[in-house]
Formats: sequence, structure tokens, C-alpha cells
Amino acid sequence: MADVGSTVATWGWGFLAVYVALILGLGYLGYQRTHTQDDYATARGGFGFLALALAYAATVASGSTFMGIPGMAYGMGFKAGYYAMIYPIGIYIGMLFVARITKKVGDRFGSQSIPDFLGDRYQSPLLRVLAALVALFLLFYIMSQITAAGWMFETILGLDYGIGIWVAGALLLLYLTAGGSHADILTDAVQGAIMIGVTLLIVFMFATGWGVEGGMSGVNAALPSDMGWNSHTDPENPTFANWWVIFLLFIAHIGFTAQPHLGNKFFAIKGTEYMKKFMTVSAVVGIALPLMFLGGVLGRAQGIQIDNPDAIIPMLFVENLPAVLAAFLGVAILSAIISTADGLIIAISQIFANDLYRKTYVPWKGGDPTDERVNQRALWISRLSTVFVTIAAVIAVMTPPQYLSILLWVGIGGIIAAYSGPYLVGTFREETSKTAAIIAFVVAFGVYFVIHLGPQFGLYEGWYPYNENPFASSGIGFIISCVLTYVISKFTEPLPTSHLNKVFRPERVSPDGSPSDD
Amino acid sequence: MNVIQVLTLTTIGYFLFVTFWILKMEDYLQTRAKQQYENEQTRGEV
Repeated sequence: MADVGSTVATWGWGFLAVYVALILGLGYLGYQRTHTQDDYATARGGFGFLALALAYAATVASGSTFMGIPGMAYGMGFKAGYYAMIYPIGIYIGMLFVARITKKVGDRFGSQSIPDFLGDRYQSPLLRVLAALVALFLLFYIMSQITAAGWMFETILGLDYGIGIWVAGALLLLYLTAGGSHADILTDAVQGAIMIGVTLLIVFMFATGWGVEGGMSGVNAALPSDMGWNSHTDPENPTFANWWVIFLLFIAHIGFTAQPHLGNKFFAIKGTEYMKKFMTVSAVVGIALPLMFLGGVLGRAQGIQIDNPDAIIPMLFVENLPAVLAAFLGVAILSAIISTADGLIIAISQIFANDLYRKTYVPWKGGDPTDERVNQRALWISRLSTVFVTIAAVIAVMTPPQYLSILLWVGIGGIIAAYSGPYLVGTFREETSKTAAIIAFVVAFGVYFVIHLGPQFGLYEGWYPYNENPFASSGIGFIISCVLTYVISKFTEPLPTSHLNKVFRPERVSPDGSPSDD
Repeated sequence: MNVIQVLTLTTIGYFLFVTFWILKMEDYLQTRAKQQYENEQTRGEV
């Protein structure tokens, strides 16, 4: 057992029991709503704007928001705020661009994932398969969330990390295998609401200079000068080396919206008429949650000594608050981590069940993807792959990796580079061609890996000075993806008009292809 | 300006953009899609 206050741990176990009971109840509710593969994969049309906006914000605000980023702020001071606050701005601006069309096209074609959406949008089975294979890199993301959960169990409950990751895996399996996307969104919505409360508390503690003389200015004064709020960049730090890389951080996160575990949430809203309300609520909640970085700054100002900076928020609670509150907040952060992991697991399960089996293997063998037996088989594959992916992720992090926010970008940077052009440009420009989408997808993915990983293996060192910064590398990948998609579309054949009408004007086209009179 | 002030201004800019998008751009994009469809229909009839 790790060294943690026994009172905090006792209360923590109590709150954990309540939390488990809650997600089991929501998981059962999700199970009751899950009858088909489409229910499991998307929860299509099952939620109003408020629940879905909370779930979306909770999914975006991963373990990194509550652990990695405050850890960064603990180590670097106020300048970490440029990451904490700019990444959600990029993501939610990207969300504004793609949410409505994703919902429209998804419903129209029955798309069950973002790779599936791309395949339907461009009438391209090849693009669907490529996107699905690249999305397998989300496993790194799940690993980072399971790692964060393991640290939380150790910090708040005193449970050994090695056991904590298995408990986290078991918690996820308890409700996900039964309720799929319904359970995912239900639990995420509740967790989103709890996370708002935690964030408000952290902001209050920072604004009042909790535990530090002199309020907010006192917090700044207690920091070393290179961590204070007058220090904007640090040439020695690849993430904050200059304003250009901070701008690339923003650019890269616009493409983050293309992550399959985020895009599939849009399918679940009741109808496009709720989209504006969904956008409004999620944009406001989403920008608020990363204010959690202020807790890392406060922890440093208070002089809290900690071996693992990623655990600064739970330690801040343990050091400053009554045991009962610290324990409650620790379990709340655990729920934040779980809420991202579950969406990721559902997204990967659909790579196997929908993208590769139902929409690729079945048509390849001459079958009908809409056949009832195929759907039932896909539902079973969804559930089995949920179990397989969760266990694989837990095994992969039995030796705890360092630097959560960096690790997860090994996978998602490639996804951003590959998906951005076809997904974002293809949303606005009907003329975007299938050829352009495929070429941009492959080239941008390759470029990201070449510039990000090559120099780290001693190849062409110095050629791209920010290669260690995954955001800067992803930002370049994003730009290349979008530019290639745009330019190549100018010289290649667009998709047939009849297909584009279905994609871009579904409300005005009846199922037989003729215009409706709305 | 310090980091907090820069981030405050950035966040205000973000909220202005979100407001503009939701109040103006969403409607514009839908109107544009409808017009394009009607133009195609007109061309088809000619």
C-alpha cells in the first residue's frame, strides 16, 4: 500500500463503492436500451443536447486534463496554461465545423464510426479500412487513461498501482460490455457534471490563493521567476519554445476533433435541430474544465513535494482539504479518467465490429451489411473486442509509463494528420474528391511519423527542430493534410452529384433520392 | 501582459467566435446548401 492518509483512503473506498453502484445502475440502463449493433456503436438519436454536451466535454477532458496538464503546470508554472487553455479552443472550434454534417451524414448512411463516416462520405471502402487501421493507435490513448486511473487509486485509496489498473479495467468492463455507447454516454454525462464541480473548486482555491499569503499574486510570487506569469515561453522546452509552436498546438487540436471517440458522439443526439444547443453547452463546459491546470500552479506555490507531478491535483486535495472532501474529489477525478477511457474502448471495438467486419469483410464476401444476422454477429464482436481491448491496455501499462500527455500523442498525432483533411475540408467543400482524400490521408500520416519519430531515432537530426513536440508535428501534419486535400481536389474528379446531394442536403432528399418539400 | 491576461483575452475571442458561428454561420451553411440544391434543380430543368 502506498503512503496515503488512512482517513482519506477509508472515505475514498466508501465513495468508490457509491460510484461503482452508480455506474452499474447506468450500465444496466444502457443495457436495456441496447438491442442492436447500431445501439451499441452509436446510441443513435438517444440523447438530448445537455446530457450529450456534458458527455462530450467529459470525454475530451481526459486524464491528461486532470493529471498530465496540472503535472505540467507543477513543473513549468503558468506557461502550461497555454497548453491547458488553447487545446480545448482548438477542439471546440473543430467541433463547430464538423458536428452537424457528421450527424446528418451518419444518420443518412447509418455510419457507426468516424472511419465508417469517411468511407460513406467518399464512397470509399479503402478509406474506411485505412482510417480504421490508423485508429487502432487509439490503444495508446487508452493505455494513458488506464495509467492515470492506476495513479489515482494509489494516491487516493492507497491501492498499489499494479492492482489499481486492473480495478479500473474491471470497472470499465462492468458497464461497457453490457450497455455500449448508451452506458458510455450516460456515465460520461454524470461524470461531466461532477467534473464541473471539481473545476470550480480548483478555480476558487487558486483565485483565493489557498494556503499561500497574498491571494493570486501571492501564488505568482511564490513561484520561481521562470514559472511565474510573466514567463511566456521557454526555448529549452519544446512545447513552449516560442509562439509558433504554441500556434501549432492550437492548429493540431482543431484536427483533434476528428478522433473517432469524439466524432461518434454526434450520432447520439436526437436530431440536428438540437445541434446549436449542444454546441453552446459543450463549448462553454469544455473551455472551463482545463482550468484545472491552476491546481498544478497552486501546488507548486504551496511547495508540495511530490515524486510524480501527474498526481499533483489529488495531492493538493489531500494536503488542503478535509479527508472526506479530498476522498470525494479523488474519486471524481477517477471518474473523469474512466469517462475518456470508455469512449475510446467503444471506438476501438467498432473498428473490429463495424469497420472491418460489417462494412468491409461482409461486402467483400458478397454479404449484406444490413442483414439481421450480420448485425447480431457484429454486436457480439463489439462486446468481445471491448473485453479484449480493455485487457490488452491494462497489460500494456503494468509497468507505469511516464509523461501521460506525451505518450498518448504518439497515437493521436498520426490520427490528426491523417483524418484532418478528408474530415474537415470534406465537410465544407463538396468538390473534395475521393482521390484527394486518400492521398492526403496517406501522405500526411507519413509526414507526421517522419518528422515526429525520425529524429528521435537519430535520422536527419535538426531538419525539423520541433520534432520532440508532438503538437508541433501534428500541427504540420494537419496543415499538409488540409492543403493536399484542397489542392488535389482541384485536379481530380469530384464524387457524383447524386451522392453529394445525399451527403450535404439530406433534409431535402427523400430516401428514394427525390427532393422533399421541407 | 502576463499569461493570465493573454489567456483571458484568448478566451474572450473564443467565445466571440463560438457566438458568431452558432448565430450566423450555422444558418448560412444551411441556406447555402439549400441554394446549391435549388440551383442544381434549375439547371436540370433548363
